[in-house]
Amino acid sequence: MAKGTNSRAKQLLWRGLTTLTAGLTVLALTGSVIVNGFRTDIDKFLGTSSTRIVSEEADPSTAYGFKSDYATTAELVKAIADVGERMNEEGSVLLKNNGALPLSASEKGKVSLLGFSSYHPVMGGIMGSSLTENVGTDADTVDFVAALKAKGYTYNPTLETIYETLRPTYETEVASWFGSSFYPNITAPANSAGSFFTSKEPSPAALDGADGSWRGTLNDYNVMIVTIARAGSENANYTPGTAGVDPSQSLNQTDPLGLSDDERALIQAAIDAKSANGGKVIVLLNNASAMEIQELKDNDGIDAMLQIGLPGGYGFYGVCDILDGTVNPSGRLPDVYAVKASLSPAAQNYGFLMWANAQPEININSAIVEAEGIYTGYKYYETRYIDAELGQGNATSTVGSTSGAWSYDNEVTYPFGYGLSYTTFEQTLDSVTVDLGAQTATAVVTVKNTGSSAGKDVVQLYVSTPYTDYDKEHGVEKAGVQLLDFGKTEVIEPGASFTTTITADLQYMASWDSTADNLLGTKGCYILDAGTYYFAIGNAHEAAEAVVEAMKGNESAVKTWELGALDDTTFARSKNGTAVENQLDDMDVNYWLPGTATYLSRSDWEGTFPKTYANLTASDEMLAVMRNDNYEIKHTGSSVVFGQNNNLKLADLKGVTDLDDERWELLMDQIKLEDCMIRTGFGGTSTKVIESIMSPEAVQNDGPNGIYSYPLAQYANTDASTGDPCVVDANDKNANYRAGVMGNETVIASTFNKALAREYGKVMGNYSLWANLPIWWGIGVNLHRVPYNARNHEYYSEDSVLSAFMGAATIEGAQYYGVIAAPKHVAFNDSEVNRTGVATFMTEQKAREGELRAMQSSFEDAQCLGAMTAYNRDGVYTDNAHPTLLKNIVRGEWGFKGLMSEDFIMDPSYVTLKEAVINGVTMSCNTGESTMEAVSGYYQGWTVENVKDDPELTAALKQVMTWQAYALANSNAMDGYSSSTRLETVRTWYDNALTAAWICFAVLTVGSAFMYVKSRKEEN
Amino acid sequence: MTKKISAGMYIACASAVCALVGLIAYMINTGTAYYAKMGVDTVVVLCLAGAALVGIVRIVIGMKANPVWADILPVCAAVLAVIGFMFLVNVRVNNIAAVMTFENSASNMADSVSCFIAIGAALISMITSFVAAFFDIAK
Repeated sequence: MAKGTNSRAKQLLWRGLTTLTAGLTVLALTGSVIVNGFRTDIDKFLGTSSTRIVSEEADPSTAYGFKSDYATTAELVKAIADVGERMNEEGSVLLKNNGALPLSASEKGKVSLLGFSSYHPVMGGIMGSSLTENVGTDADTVDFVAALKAKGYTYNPTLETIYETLRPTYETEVASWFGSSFYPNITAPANSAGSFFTSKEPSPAALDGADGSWRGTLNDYNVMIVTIARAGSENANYTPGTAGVDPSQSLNQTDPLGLSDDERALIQAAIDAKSANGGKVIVLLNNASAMEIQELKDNDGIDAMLQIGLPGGYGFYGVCDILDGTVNPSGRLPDVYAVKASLSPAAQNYGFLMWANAQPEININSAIVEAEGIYTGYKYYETRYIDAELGQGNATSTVGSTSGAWSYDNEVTYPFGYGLSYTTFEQTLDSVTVDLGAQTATAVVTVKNTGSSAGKDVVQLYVSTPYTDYDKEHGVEKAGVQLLDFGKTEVIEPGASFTTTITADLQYMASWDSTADNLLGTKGCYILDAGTYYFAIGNAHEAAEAVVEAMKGNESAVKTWELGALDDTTFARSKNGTAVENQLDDMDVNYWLPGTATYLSRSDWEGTFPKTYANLTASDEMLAVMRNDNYEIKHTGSSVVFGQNNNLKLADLKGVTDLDDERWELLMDQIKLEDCMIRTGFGGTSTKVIESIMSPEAVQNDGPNGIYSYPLAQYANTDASTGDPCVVDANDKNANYRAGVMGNETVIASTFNKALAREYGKVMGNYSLWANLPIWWGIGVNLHRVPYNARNHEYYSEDSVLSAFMGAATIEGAQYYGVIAAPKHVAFNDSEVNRTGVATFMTEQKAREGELRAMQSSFEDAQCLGAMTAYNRDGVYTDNAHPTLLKNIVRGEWGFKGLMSEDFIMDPSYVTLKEAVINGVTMSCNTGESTMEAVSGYYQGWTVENVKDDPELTAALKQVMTWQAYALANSNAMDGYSSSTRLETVRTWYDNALTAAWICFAVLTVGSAFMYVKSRKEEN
Repeated sequence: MTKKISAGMYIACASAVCALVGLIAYMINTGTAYYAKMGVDTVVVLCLAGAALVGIVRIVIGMKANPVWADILPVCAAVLAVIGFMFLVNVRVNNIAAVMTFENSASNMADSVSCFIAIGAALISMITSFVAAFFDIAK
């Protein structure tokens, strides 16, 4: 009995071990297979590399074509910090000042910081453009208190202790499957229906509860700075009105972007203290979405108010420089600050507006009808102001009004382009010369510093185009004023004058007329109406006032230009000579559902003011398109050439910008159809090596606040023997530096300084060179349609021209160093709500004069080499597969020749791969093993057998890979590559570990199995 | 005559049940709005179903007799559980990453609960299948 038991125990032991080792063998084997699908990401995570390029006899002077301006990483990161500091020096907007600012030297020693956001400010997005904190580098990032210390300020220690004590009361807990995270700074509401903003500000009573002595300490520290913050975040959303406010709080907060009673009480406590201690109350607004702050403007107890945006890692240095007058503020608002933002026409259609027949499982979720037409932001307020002043268009009706008849003064707190200085300037519009042939308007403006301190000023050139009977008959809308161009002066000394010349591109004042005949014999063209054009300067409202005066007969503040007859020829072709026509008819909801929407018209503000379009029912035809299977693969046979051997490598076409060069065709004849299909399907996180043309892996990076995805040294060249001038030693002090440190894009826009935007691009271009990170999804050119989009921090402005030129300047600055600086999201990613699937409807005029105009310059002028499409639908087509937007406008009218990625869409059906390729998208953002089996398994029907005989699709595949290769060939991704370059596969330590593991376990399995059999035999 | 059950019975049962739970949770997950378009991975289904089935067969046989050939069953169950678990992680890791970041929303989080249950159950099934192999079903 005992013998039998022992024998069975042995058998069980060996059976168990056989099972265990067999299981582990399979685990290691499947692991070896699976890691191939995630190799890029694993390498990024572990800092390993699975391939290496080998170049024999490469001449470093040609192999490394792009040169850095910096000799060391220390110089590089210090330059980034310098730009970051100056960004907030010029991008902080002084909204109010009774002389309290700048602070004197003695006042710098008496600062009290109130509000938890003073200690835990929002420095970047909660998600997206998040700050990358750098510690122990040559340019460590700083928050507000660190910057104050560095700049020689002294602040109230009692308050600092109190706020640290109260930290648990204002932290935000964000739950996840892996536990909770706690944010000490304010966060943005989640992106789901019913989510709301919760005020976290500790009230004065809460401060009393922590330490009642704080009020007394204000006598010694009587410069009281109160910071009020609202966070920005990708995939987050503020719901307008009281519906967007925590219902469990009774804090008299009527909007998430308005103030709560706790915030009011804190400010009032400072004001009350001021009456006793004779100090100052300064409010800092730490936000990217325009807030409702009329009450702060009206409150005389507040001495000064400074809007600082989300300042990034160095911006608080700039804020400190403004506070003490080291620099003179010169920022201007990139968005109008409305008294009640929820009353704007755009806000009437925002949020969770679901289809009545929604099918969430295939991303048919919600629909947004942008019924406000072109009247977003200041273009609504200033146009209605002009019409109200001139008594036209029922502008003074009560619709959209805070109370009673609509009046500008009741609706706008601070206009677009507003901002104060410590000095005063007098601007004179000396002349405007319009050259229709050259398509320019040249304005000469003299700026005189009439105050007592030196400073910079912003010149904003606006135009008011005629709104004619023709327009009213043909549905063409005209903003009362629109920004045409802008410039920033140098520092002007007191009493001195500076004359600036702005040469504006006239195409930005042309209007899209969907009914106009065009050169193609179809409909749709840009027009200039007959009539008087008024040019004015100042901020948007000052320009509007000047236009009103001019229309009433006093033209002293404007320059005019007369056009005798409607012009539909000057802009009938785009800059590259492509004849324009309607391309986006299907983005109008009335195209699919006739008579559904009424678009806002200034001819009748009251009668056309947007109603909310909720619960629309998509027709069967619309549903059919939204199922995303709109291209039928043909099997007629293809003559497209693949897989030739022409002995070319992509390095042979380094820097070749002429796509007509015959070598491009010869090179691309080498590529295999399989390569095209794998790389378009799995383009995520990096473009992978294509050996048939020897194109490199190029790592992709977010985001608008700088290249932050990877540390400086992760992909940097560490081999000094290569001759690379940008070699980073593994022990470099800045090896772990990440460049997500810049102020958010609203700060950049607020500078109104194209040169500074270009400098930002320059330092990021240099960073790209050092870090070997050649693709940068860094230019957010979607518009602030409403302030409620929590992602506004990643976009410049509500204005298309300001966005366009700041974005283009950054691209120009960056691309000089070979980084592919890509605008995103092309186009109409106007909301984070249901962004994967939301059907965005608008008129073609709005599309072309709004977001498309905001990104056009990035393509036409800056000649960007990359772009990213959007999550949303344009009308009912997925953006990445809209049949005309990408192919006819972006590639056609704008002449884009670079790589184009989809956004982070993980749904293979919503990737709409074949449709996307047909329309010029070069890659999805998905990842997977570089095999046809893997990509075919992921995308239904994406097999060589199914695709190879489709002439259109095979041609499109080859074309998009040509564009991708073109972009890479002209980027720093080719640094180190030469004609002799070849790729070597490298076995990483984890490859070796997995192989060793499965071999060991396999041996053990065999051994255990042998022992098991032996024990069985022994028993027998 | 029925034999006395041993610890192996409970562990093997747990393994089979977990494989079954993993399979059911996975199937539920493939029917949620967010994950429906990812399709159904046949390897995951076959392996988890196989692991559960083999486990059950082993239990049934082990309760009555203990034939020599039945000693291969725990090995098969474990191998199937391993493959099922690994492929399940493989087909879901990108989506989980997306839901945790760019596609984070309450509904997507809710849809992902079944995904996590499936992965967790498959993992437990895999581990318990290893342990169960060291025991007989009945004493």
